[in-house]
Amino acid sequence: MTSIQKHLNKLRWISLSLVFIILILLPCLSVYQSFVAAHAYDLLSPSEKSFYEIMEWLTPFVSDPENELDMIKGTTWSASFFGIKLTDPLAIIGQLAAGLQIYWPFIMTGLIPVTLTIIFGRFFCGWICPATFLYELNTNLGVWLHSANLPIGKQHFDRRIKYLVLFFGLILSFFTGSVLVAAIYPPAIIGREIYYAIALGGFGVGSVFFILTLLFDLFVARRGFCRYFCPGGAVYSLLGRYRVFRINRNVSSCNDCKKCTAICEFELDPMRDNFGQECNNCSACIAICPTDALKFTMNCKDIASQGPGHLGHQYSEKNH
Amino acid sequence: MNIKKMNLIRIFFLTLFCSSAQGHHVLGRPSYSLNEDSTTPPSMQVEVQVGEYYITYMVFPAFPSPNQPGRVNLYASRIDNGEPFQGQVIFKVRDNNWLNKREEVLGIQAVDDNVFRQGFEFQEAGNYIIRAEFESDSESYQIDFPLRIGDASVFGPIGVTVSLIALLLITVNLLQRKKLINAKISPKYRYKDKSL
Amino acid sequence: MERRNFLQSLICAAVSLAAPLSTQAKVTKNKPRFRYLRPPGSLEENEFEARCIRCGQCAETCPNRCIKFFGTENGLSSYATPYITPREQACILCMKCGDACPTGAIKSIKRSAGTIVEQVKMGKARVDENLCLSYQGKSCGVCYRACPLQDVAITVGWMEQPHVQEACVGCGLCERSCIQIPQAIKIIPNYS
Repeated sequence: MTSIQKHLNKLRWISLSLVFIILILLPCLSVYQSFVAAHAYDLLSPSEKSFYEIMEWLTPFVSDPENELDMIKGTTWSASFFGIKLTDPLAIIGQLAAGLQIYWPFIMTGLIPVTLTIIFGRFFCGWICPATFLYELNTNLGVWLHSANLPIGKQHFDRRIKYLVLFFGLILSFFTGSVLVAAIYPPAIIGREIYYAIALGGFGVGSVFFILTLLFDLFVARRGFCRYFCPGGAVYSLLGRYRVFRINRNVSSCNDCKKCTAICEFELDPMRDNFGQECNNCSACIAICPTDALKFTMNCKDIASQGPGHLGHQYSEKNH
Repeated sequence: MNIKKMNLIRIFFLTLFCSSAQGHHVLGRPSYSLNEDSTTPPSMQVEVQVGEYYITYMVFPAFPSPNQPGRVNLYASRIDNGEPFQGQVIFKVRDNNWLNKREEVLGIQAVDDNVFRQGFEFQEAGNYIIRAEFESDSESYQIDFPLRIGDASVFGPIGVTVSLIALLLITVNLLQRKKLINAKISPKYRYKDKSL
Repeated sequence: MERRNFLQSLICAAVSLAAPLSTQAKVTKNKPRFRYLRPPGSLEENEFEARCIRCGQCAETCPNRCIKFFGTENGLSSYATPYITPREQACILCMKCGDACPTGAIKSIKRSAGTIVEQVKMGKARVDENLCLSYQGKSCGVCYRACPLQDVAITVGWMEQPHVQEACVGCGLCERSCIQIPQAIKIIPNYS
C-alpha cells in the first residue's frame, strides 16, 4: 500500500501537466473547429495550414470536428465534459453574491466538485489547478536562485488573510453586481489568458496580474499567493476541513528527519502532525519520506501531536 | 439575317437579366474609394461612442510609413438620429509617450461629403496620438486616436514577458530537476525551523 | 494574427486615451465607450454582468470566432465578459453559445427563424442614408444579401435601398458585409 502511495506525487505531476496541456489544446481545437466550420482550408496561410494539419492529426477518431469536438469545452473554472457541466465552487458563490439569485441548473454544476472536495480536501489545488503547476515550477526556480546565493522571499503572513480576501471579494461582487472574484483567481485567469493568446491573438491584463503573483511568490513569500490570498483556496479549505482522505504520520516509524517539513510547498509541518485544512493532499511529503512514516488514511480528523518520531534521537534519549 | 436577329434578341435578353447582377461590382464603389490616394482599405477603423456621437476614425493607407503621405478620415454621426456632424474639426498630433506632451496642430478641416479628411506626412516612425476636437450643441468634444507610423513589433510587451518567464521556468526545472529536490531538503534552504 | 493583435492594442489605446475636454459635470456624460453587442440571447446588461462567471465557453464554442472579451476598457464590472464587434466578425446566429453558457447569462434558444426573431434582441440595424450607396443611386444590396432573415428583418426598394424591419435581431451580418467605410448600416445595440 505504502509503495503505491510513494508514487502518487509522480502521478500528481502527470495530472498537473495533463491539465495544462489540455488547457492549451482546447483553444487550439476551437480555432481548428472554426476553420473547419468555414470550410476555409484553401484560404489559410501556410502556417495556418500546418496548424490545421497538426490538429487533424491530433484528433484521429473525429469524423465531424465541427460538432464532435464540442464534447469537451471550457477551463478548470467551468467546463463541459461529455454533457456534464462542472464549475468551480468559487464561481457559484461569487455569482450568488453578485446577483443574489439562485439559478438551479448552474448550482448543480458545482455538485461534483463540492462532493469530491468534501471527500478529498483541497485536491483541486494540488492535483488540477493550472496555477499550481506554474507556482510549483516557480518555487523550484526560487530554490535554484537561492542555491546561487540570490535573495528570495521568506516572509510569513497570517494564513487567515485568504478568508478575508474571499469575504471582501464577495462583498465587492455584491456591490458592483459583477463576479469580481473571477478577476483575481489564478486558475480562472490562466484558462482565460491561454484562450486569449491562442484564439484572440494576444495576452490580456490578467497575465500582468499573474506575473505579479509569480514575483510575489519568488521575492516575498514562498507560494504566498496560494497560502495567503487565494479566494478559491479559501473556499476549498473550508469545504475540505473534514476531508475523509488525509495524510497521517505513523510515529513509530518516523525518524525526525524533517524532510517532509522542508519539502511541503505550503510550509505545513507533517513532522509535527500539523496539517490542518490548508493541506492540499499533494503527497510530496509521502514521496520524500525515507522511512515510509507518512501515508494517506481514511480519517475525518488530524491526529493530535504525537511527539517526536520513535526512530529519532529525541525519542531514544527520552526513553533511555 | 434571321440568325443575326436571333442573336440580337438573345443578347438583349442576356443583358436584361445580367446587367443588374454585374452592376453591383461596377457601380457599388468599394469601401476604400473614400480615399482616392489609397488602393487599400484603412488599416483600422476605430469607432468610439462619445456624448451624442458615434465617431469613426480611419487611417489611409493601410500601414503608413515615414515620408509617405497619408490621411486620417473622421466621420461623426449622432447616436439618436444618425445625422452626420457638419461643423469643423481641429486635428492635433503628439507623440505617444508620457514625457513629451507637446502638441502640434495638423489642421482645421471642414466637412467634405460628410467626412473630415486630414492629410499627414511623418518623418519618423513611431506611435503618435491624433486628437480630434470639435464643438456641438455648445459642448466640446476631444477624442484621442492612436496612429502607428512604420512597422509595429509582432509581440507585445506582455507576450514577451510571459514567454520569457515560461521559458525560464521550464528550462530551470528540466535541467536542475534532481538537484532542486536535494537543495530543497538541504539544511541550507530550510528557513522555517520554528519547531525544533 | 499579427495585424489583428496590433489593431486590438490600438483600439484599446484609443479608448483608454480618449478624454473629454469639457467641465467636470460633462465628464461622465462624454465618457467614450465602445459600441458592442452581447452574444445572442444575453440577458439585460446589469443582470448579464451579475450572471456571467467569465468562463469563456461561449467564445470557445463559437464556430465563427466572433466573441471577444473586454479587458478593463469598459469598466471593471464588465471585465472578461463576452462581446461582439459586428464590423470585425458578426454573429451567424448558430445559437451554440446559449447552449454552452453554464449560468444562463446567455439563454439557450432553439435555432429556428421563429424563436430567433422572437427571443434574440441584440440590437437593431440602422441605415445611414448619407453613406449608403443604394441611396446615392448606385444599386448595391450587399446588406440585404448578407441578412440571414431576408425579407423578414430587411427589405429593399427598387434600387436595393435597405429598409430595416421590426423583426431585425441585430446579428450584425449586414454591418460586417457593408462595403462602405464608414459602414452605412450598423447595429444600434439594445442596451444603449
